Amino acid sequence: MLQYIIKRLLLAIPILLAVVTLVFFVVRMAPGDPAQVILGDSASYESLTALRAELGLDRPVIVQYGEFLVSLVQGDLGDSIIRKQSINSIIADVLPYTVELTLAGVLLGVIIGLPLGVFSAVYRNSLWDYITRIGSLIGLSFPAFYSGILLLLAFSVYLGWFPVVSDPDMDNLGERLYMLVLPAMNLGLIMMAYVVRSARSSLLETLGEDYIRTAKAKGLPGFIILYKHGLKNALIPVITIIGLYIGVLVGNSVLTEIVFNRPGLGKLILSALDERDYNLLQGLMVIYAFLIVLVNLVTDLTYGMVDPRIRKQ
Amino acid sequence: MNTIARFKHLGTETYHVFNRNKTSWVGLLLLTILVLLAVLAPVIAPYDPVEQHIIQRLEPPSSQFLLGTDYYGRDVLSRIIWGCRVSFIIGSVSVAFAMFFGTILGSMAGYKGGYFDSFVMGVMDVLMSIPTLLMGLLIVAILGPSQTNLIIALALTMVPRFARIARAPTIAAKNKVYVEACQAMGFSDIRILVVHIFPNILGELMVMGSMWMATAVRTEAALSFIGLGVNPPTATLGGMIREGFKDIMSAPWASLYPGLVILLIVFAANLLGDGLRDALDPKLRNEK
Repeated sequence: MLQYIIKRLLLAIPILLAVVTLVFFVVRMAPGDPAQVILGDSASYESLTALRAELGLDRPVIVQYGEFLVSLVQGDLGDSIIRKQSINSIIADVLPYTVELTLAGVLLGVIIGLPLGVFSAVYRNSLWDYITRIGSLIGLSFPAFYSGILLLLAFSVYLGWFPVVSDPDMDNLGERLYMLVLPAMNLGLIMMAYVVRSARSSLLETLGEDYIRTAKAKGLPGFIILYKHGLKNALIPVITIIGLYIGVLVGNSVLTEIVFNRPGLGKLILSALDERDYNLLQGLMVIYAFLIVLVNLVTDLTYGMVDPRIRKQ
Repeated sequence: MNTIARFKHLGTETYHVFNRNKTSWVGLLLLTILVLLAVLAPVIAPYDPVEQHIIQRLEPPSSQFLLGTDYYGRDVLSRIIWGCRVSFIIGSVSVAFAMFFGTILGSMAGYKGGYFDSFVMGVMDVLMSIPTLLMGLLIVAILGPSQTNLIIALALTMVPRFARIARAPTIAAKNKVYVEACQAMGFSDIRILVVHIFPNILGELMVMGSMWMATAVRTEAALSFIGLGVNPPTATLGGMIREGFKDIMSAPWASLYPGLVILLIVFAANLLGDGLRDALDPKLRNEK
C-alpha cells in the first residue's frame, strides 16, 4: 500500500507543475500592464518604471517564473498587487466557506443519490426507474446558476425560510449551518444526479456478473445477494465519480457562491477579474489546481484501499 | 466493402441504433426543434433582438410581447430565439473543433505509441485537470470576451476527452490482423486510420459529441452569466439571465424563460447522448 501511495504522489507532481506553469504563462499573456492598472492612465513614465521595478515586472519573464516556483514550493502565493495583502491570507479567509459548501454538497448528493440509484437498479425498467432516470438527467442538465436562482426564489423570496444573501458569521455555528442549507442543496441536487446515475449503472453491471447468478442458484435471499455481493462491489466506481466530477463540482460551487452572494473562492475569482488583479487570479487558479489534484489523489488512494486489484497493477 | 458502401452501412446502422432506444428519438426531436428555431431566427423572431421599446420596459407577457420585455424594453422571445443561435454556434463549433483535433491527436498517439503517445497524453492530462468553467474563465478573462475566444476556450477543455476516446480503440485495432494486412499491403497510415479505424469509434464519438455539446452550451451560458460571454447587446441566454436577475422580483420572465431554454437545450443533448450510448452498448443491445 505504501508503495502505491508513493507512486501516486510522484505521478501527481509533474501534472501539478505543468498546470501551474500553464496558469503562470496564460496570466502573463493578459493585455495591459499591472503597473498601469494600479496607477491609472495619467501616471508618469517615471512612476510607472519605478512601480514595475518594485513589483519585479522589469525582469525577464523566465526569472519571474523561477521566483514564482521557488516561493510556491515554500507555500507562498505572493502578494495581491491591488489589495496590498498576501494572497495566502486572502485565500485562507474564504477557503473554509468553499470547503464547507463543497463537502456539504457532496454529502447531500451521496446520501440521497445512493439509495435512489440502488432502488432504480433493483427495480429496473419500472415506472420508478424511469422517473429516477429522467429526473437525474434533468438534474445534471441544470446550469447551477439557474437552479440556484429557482431555489432562491422559492425558499427565500416566496416562502421566506432562508435569507437571500448567505454571508454567515463563521463563529456562530447555528447561523453557519442555517445559511449553508440552500447553497448546499443547490450543489447537492446536481451532485445527486451524477451519483444516482453511476450507482445505478454500476450496480446493474455487478448484478449481471456470474457470481451473482451463483449466489442466486445457491438460494441466498435477495437482500443478502444485493448487499453482500452486489452493493459492495458496485460501490467502487461510485467512489471515483467524486474524483471524476470534481471539475463540475468546482464550476458549480463558483456559480453557487455567485448566486447566493456567499463568500468563497468563486466570489474571489470574480472580484479578481473585476479588479484586474492577475496575481490573485493566478493564486486562485493554483489553489484550485492543488485542490483538484489532491481530490483525485484521495479518490485514487481510496480506490486502491477498497480494491486490492488496483494496488497490484 | 469500398469506403462509400462502408459509410452507407454506418448510416443504416445509426438508424437502427436510434430505433433501439426511444429516448434518443425524443432528444433528437427536441434538439431539432431548437436548432430550427435558432437557424430560422431572422424569419420567426417577432422583433429585432436589440430593438428597444423604451416605453414598454419590463412588461409582462402579453399578446404583443409573448414572453414580455426586459429592462431595456426588448422582446424576451426574440432575444431567446437569437440567443439560442449563439448557444448552438458556440456549442457545436467548439465540439466540432475538439472532436476533430482530439480524434486526430488521440488516434495518432495510439497508433504511433512510444514517446509521442506519452507526450500527447501527458499534455491532455494537464488540460483535463483544469475544470471547464475555470479554463473558460481564465482564457476569456485574458483574451477578452468574444465568440471566437469562447470557442477556443471550450474546445481546449474538450480536446483531451475526445483524444482519450479515440486512443483506446486505436490501440486495440492496431494489433488486429486486418490492420496488419493493410500495413503489409503498403497502405498509408492515414488511410488505415480513416478507413479502418475511424468507423469503429464513430459511435462513441457521436455519444460524446452530444454529451459535450450539452456541457459546452451550459458552460457558455455560465460564462455569459458571470459576464464573460459574447459582449452585449448581442442576445445570449446566459447574458439575459444576468441582466434579468436584477429585476427578478418585478419581472421574473426576463430571466426565468431564457434559463428554461438553456435547460431544454442541455437536456435534449444529454437525452440524445444517453439514448445513443445505451443503444450502442453491446451489453445492453440485445435486452428488452
